[in-house]
Amino acid sequence: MLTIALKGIAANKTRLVLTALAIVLGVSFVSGSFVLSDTISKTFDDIFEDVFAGTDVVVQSEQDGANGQPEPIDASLLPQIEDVDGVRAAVGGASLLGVIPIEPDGEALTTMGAPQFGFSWTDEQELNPFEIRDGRPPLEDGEVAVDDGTADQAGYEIGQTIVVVADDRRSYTLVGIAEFGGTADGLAGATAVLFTLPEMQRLAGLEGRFDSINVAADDGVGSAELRDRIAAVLPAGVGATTGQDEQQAQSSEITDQIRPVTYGLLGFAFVSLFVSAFIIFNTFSITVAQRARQMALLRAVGASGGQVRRMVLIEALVLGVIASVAGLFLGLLLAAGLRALFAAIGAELPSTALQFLPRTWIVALALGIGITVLASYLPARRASTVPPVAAMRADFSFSSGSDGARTAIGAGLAILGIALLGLSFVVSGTLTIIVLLAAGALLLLLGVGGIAATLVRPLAAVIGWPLERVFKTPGKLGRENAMRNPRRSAVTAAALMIGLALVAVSAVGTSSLNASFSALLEDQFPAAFIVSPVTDESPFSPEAAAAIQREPLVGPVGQAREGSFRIDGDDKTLTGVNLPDFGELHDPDFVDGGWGDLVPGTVAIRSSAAEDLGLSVGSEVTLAFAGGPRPFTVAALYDESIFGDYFITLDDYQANYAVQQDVVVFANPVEGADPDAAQAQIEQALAPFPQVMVQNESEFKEDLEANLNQLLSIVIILLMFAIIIAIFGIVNTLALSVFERTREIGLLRAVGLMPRRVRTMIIVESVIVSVIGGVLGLAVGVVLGAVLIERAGGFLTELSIPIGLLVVFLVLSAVAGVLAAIFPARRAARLDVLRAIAQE
Amino acid sequence: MGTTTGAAVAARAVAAVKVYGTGDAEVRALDGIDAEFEEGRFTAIMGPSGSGKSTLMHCLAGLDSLTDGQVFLGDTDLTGLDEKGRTRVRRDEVGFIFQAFNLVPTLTARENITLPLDIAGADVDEDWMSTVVGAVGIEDRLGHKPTELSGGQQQRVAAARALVSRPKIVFADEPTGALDSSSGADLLGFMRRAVDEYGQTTLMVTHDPGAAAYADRVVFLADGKIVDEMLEPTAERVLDKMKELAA
Ligand SMILES: Nc1ncnc2c1ncn2[C@@H]1O[C@H](COP(=O)(O)OP(=O)(O)OP(=O)(O)O)[C@@H](O)[C@H]1O
Ligand SMILES: [Mg+2]
Repeated sequence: MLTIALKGIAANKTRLVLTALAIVLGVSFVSGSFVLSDTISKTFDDIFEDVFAGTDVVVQSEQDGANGQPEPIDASLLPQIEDVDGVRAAVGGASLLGVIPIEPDGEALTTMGAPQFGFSWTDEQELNPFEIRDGRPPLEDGEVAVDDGTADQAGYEIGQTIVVVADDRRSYTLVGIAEFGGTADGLAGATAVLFTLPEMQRLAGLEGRFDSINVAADDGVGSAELRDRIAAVLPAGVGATTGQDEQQAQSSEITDQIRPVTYGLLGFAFVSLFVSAFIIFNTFSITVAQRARQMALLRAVGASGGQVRRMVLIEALVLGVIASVAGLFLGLLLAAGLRALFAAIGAELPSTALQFLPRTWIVALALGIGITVLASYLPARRASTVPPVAAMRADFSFSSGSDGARTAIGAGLAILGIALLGLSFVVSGTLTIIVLLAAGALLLLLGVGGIAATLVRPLAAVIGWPLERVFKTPGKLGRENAMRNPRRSAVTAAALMIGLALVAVSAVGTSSLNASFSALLEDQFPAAFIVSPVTDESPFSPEAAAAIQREPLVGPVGQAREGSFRIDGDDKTLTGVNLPDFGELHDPDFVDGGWGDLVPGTVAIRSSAAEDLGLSVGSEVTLAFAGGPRPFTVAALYDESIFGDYFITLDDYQANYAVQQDVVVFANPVEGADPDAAQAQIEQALAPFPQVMVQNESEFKEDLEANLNQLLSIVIILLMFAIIIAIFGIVNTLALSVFERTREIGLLRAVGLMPRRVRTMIIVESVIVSVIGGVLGLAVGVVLGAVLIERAGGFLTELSIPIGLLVVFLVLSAVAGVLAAIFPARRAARLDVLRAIAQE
Repeated sequence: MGTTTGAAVAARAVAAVKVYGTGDAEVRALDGIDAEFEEGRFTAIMGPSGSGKSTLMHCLAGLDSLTDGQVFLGDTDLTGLDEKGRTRVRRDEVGFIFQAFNLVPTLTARENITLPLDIAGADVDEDWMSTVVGAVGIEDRLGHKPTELSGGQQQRVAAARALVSRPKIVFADEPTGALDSSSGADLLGFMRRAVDEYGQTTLMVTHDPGAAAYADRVVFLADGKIVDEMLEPTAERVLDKMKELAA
């Protein structure tokens, strides 16, 4: 049986390759996702390992402050720590985010989102992850060193005067170039400027304070031991951790940040595998049908039904193993390619070797092989039902099972899916909702796939009508061919349907996001101008807002700063805003009180958060900052804001946080001023601040739309895998059908159909199948997208269905059909007429 | 070989040679055939298996090309045509009836009959259509798909298709080979009538002396050569001749 199975595989290489390709692609996606995320995690692990290599104990605030960073600690702690027995060296450090080197030609050196740091230099090499490669460390406040990647990129030379923007534009003498971690590894795209400690403290507004104190132990003193000794002398609110614990904490924080991306990639990978399963199922169904007589012969000469079934399953197993192993290694290439892509856009990852963990290949192989065997189980079982007498009958065909029953099951699944989607609206709990939505979507897709066989005829009739008008007889024949085996066409189309459904969901999602956000902007922001950082999430110096304020055509300028605090023991984020200006620029939909009530010592709270805490206007509440608990009074409640759940005044913010940086600044022109002129003035005022940019409302919206479109493109690229697999599925089905219809095509050629028109006939069939997939997929996708948006709620108030884009996708699905038909159509057109009609 | 009666020639082979394979595997399927098939006559080709009957027919019909020599369909020299030209000749001037698998399964009987016209984009002559359909006796089956027809009905649909475009010549390769004797007789009777009533030139390959008896003339092939021929054949005389040739 094994030999027969192997010969069965070898007999049709085209089929083998096309089917295997579907699995290879799916598996490579899985392994590539794992490899990439493991490699990125490893990269950051390595970075943090370098950072904390010689550090035995880290002393820092136990509570986060401005911008979610640990609140600085008092410099007076340093001598106390140095006095602790077993401390060999202790170094206080300061740092700042958003420190931007200016290239010699005046351009700001920015990254693709990687952080841009300023660090204080220490000569205590054990406690310094940087090592000077050329030149010397900064010794005076007017001197800096930069990391080698930055020096290369900017084209800096030692001895040069360079401009760095932190709080303001300043010139420094570049005295050294440093390597991170003592190796040639990069900083994962980040940049670093190294200042003297006093200069760094001044730039960060940390005079007399440190971000943290790093401690090296005397020989023979354990880290944990030293940590406990140091902890004993620290005041409340300041903690000591071992370097190793701190390293692990930071690594796992990064891993946590990467995890959603990993899961996202894996999600797309599973979609691809799911589509592969359809292709495998269809291919095996067709080939089993085509080999029915051969199998009957085996039965006639004494093979049992079970043996025939095993033969097909062995075939699937061999195919699954070969293809999964190939996919595993293709995944490695894929990850390497993605990394090269990151490098090309500037987010270079250090040269950490690609991480190929056992988990990766176990999961990838198990999935690939498992899905192949599982998907071929039904065809295998069907093969085992072929009666021995079929060997004698020329026209044996499997009874395809009742179409009515299949449709009923499909409809049942679809209804169940819709019910689950509906149920998601009445339950609560994010996880439950997500599970219900996902299960509902899956069932709906499967259900529509089941009904599809019934829909093929009417849809093919409609889609084929114009094609028949244009292409006459070949058009008609192609349409008839698409309809002759509705199940085959349906499964083929269903594979494409899945990919396109997800494309449509994404399109509806981004389009609705865009519409909702625009509506929200109009509702909440009467601001004409928005100043935001060039690099996402990089807070910037308040000097920028001050510079704008000085322009005569600029009216109110609103600043917002973010910081961490605790309420009822939970970590929360608040926004500090300058009133009354900010109040004129943002309307969070107050339900009780208003901006006018928010004075120092009071807080405005989102109504839902207030409800959870049992607070109302006038309630007393304690906000805990790093510096200690502060009493506040609730001044106002609001419903909706893109900022967090808490607003306090800028005065209170300044009183409770060490670092003062804005996250966003809004501005309006003075009454009656020409907006363009005002914007020109703002741009002028911001010239010294390359880390920020100003946009007017429509530019901001365009930017937002561009960002969302970029997101959509990325999602579509990730879905491309599933779509390409589905296209292979169409190629495969067509090739098998052409093979099956050799005699018929020969007859058509004999009675005068030109080869070119034979090709047209196959293309029409392919286009009809792919457009059926497109129509079903887009229809299901729009429904799912609408459900998702409705369920997501929140600020997603506007459901927007991008009709134009959907039409483009439909056209593209027709193009996919044409592409899929190229190879089978050529094969059909080149058929030798005589061979075809002589074929037994 | 010239049994000319003075009538115009519908198809002609001149020193036709067809060689398959090379070297040891070389087969001379046609080994210098000269033959003429006159308009309005029904000719049967007979001979042992492998004698080259099908090959001769394929070459005359423009389904295959010769290794050497010439074939003419009317005045058209098929030897000089490329595949496209031969396809056009087949479409416009030739009708086919094969032993089996004559019909496109997705099309109804009627659509199968008009297929060559549809391919050519020509109009269907409804009078002629109903004449042909009536003659083969499948008027009430026109809306059926091939799988819903018996083997005999399928062959009659194929015969109707072969005639509907009024081809210069109809080629039939063992059209009754897969039929029982009474269905076969129906089909042959129809082909005979097409010759008598509409002057349809017909060339038929057969193994059955009884079928050959429907023809006006029988040509005998052996080893790729024409070895004999017979006018006004009867089943007995054909059978005798075949025994003679086989001996
Ligand atoms: N494509 C081919 N390649 C090689 N040899 C071929 C091919 N087609 C036919 N032949 C050979 O040419 C010879 C004539 O074949 P042909 O099919 O014309 O015979 P036939 O008289 O029709 O036989 P039958 O009565 O069995 O149908 C045979 O020896 C056959 O083996
Ligand atoms: Mg033959």
